[in-house]
Amino acid sequence: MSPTGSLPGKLLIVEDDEGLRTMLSSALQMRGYEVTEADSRKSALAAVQTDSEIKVMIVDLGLPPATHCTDEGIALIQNIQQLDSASKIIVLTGQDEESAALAAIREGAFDFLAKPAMLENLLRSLERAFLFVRQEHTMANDGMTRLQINARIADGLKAVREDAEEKLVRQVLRDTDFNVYKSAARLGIKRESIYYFLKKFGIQRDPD
Amino acid sequence: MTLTNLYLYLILIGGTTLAVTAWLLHQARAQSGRSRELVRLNEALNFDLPDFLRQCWPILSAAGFSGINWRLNWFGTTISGEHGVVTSKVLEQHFEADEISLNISLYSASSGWERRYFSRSLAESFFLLLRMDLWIKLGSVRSTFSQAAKMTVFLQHDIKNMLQLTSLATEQLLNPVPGQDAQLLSALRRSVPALRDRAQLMLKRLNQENVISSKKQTSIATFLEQSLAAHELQAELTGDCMVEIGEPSLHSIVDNLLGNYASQARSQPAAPPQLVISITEHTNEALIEIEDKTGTPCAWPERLFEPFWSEHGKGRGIGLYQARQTAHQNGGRLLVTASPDKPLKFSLFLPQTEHL
Repeated sequence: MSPTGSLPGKLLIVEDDEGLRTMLSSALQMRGYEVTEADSRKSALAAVQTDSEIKVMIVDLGLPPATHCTDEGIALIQNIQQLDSASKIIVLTGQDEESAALAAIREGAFDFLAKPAMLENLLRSLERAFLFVRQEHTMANDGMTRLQINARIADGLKAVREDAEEKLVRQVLRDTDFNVYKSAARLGIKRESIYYFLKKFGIQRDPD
Repeated sequence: MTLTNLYLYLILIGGTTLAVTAWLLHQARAQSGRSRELVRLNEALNFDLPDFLRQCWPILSAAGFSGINWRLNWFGTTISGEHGVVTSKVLEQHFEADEISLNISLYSASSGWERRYFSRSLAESFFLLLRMDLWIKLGSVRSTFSQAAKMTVFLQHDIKNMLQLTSLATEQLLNPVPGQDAQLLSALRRSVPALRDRAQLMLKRLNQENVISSKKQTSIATFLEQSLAAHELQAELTGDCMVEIGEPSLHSIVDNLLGNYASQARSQPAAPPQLVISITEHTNEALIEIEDKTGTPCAWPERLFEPFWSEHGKGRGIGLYQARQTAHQNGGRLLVTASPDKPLKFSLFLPQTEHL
């Protein structure tokens, strides 16, 4: 149990600064969290794909080989969102706050903390993230899912509908381990419709 | 009119024409000399506009101007100067950009049309020099601020990381989790050396110090394969040989060279660069040639090694400059071949034996 009483869980720290990563990892482990470390987008994605229990991540946006801009971090958020949109990504970065926060939130980051952040604030953010993970899991058991959609109003309802469709289909396929029959049943549509969506959105099963 | 008189007239006309031409040539040469004197003075004063204005009068006076009157607002401070006498024949100019403005009047003596013509010509050259000085100053000011801003962003990133680490460590030390002292000590043992290394790296960057480390024999093909993998780049790599260079230097050169291709791959994942890298041996040198077969010809090859020039303004613009300097300091060379219809080809020469 963490000092605040909430249930700690498994999380991933993506930070290229070895010293900071070690200290952060240690601080969280001492508070009961199970921590996996990654120093790049590649190793972070490998960790997420290997361990499906990782639902919460602390991500630095300045990752190698482009440590002084947000490209790699934003690309990682995009990759993780595609793998599992239910993941909660807490951005902890020293990049230009305004633009980095906007880009991260647009890509689906759960929270944004600017370096240097107090440990207390980070722990609070982690507690919220794990709370959301647990509640969404409960919702999923009741056949519900929570989607985040970025909508440009000028694009109209069609774009929103398509975005929602894609996210929902991806989510259900992931939940059913890419079982088309089960996914169709869960969504209340025909299997042919699932194949149609797979083609339309270019969805492919992740290689194991 | 007799023929003898006609000849006399023709000789007189010819003589007069020759004399006028010679006089005009003399005047032109004299004015050209004055122009060169102004240019030399300007260079000697390092293109400093206030100093040039203060010291230009003797040359202008010798060129036949009767007076000068100028008023300069130099970043909020106004200075002015007056020499000679004011006449009715005045040439005036007003320059203004950012925080610099200049009003200047040059007075010509009431002399013949040809002197006025040469005076006007010299005045135009003089005004051009003033305008150039103004833009050189503004250019350097803008560039310095821009670089300072970029450097601040880069340093802030590192400083924020260090601050985050020390902040976390401080919080751990002041409010330790009971019974976790050993784990905290273990974390500090691993973090603090990394913090020291980071601070040293920052200091080196600030000093623009080039990392000259102990040299060792390195397989360039193996090194390139690892660097390509780190940058997530694909390449057709042929050849190999051993090079004698410190690993940090080699990292600096190769990362700066591959960095641009990696950025391109990230921004255009559908059309990543198709790199072809060949390694061949020359006399005591390894030649590494890098080319993107699908690359477009470079429209600004002269800018490639120019420090602080960045195509999109995102980077610091010192990557290739640094790579070239580092190669040179390690006894190598970095060249680029640019053609109007072909993609760029980088040629990196590295020493195979100890560079003396």
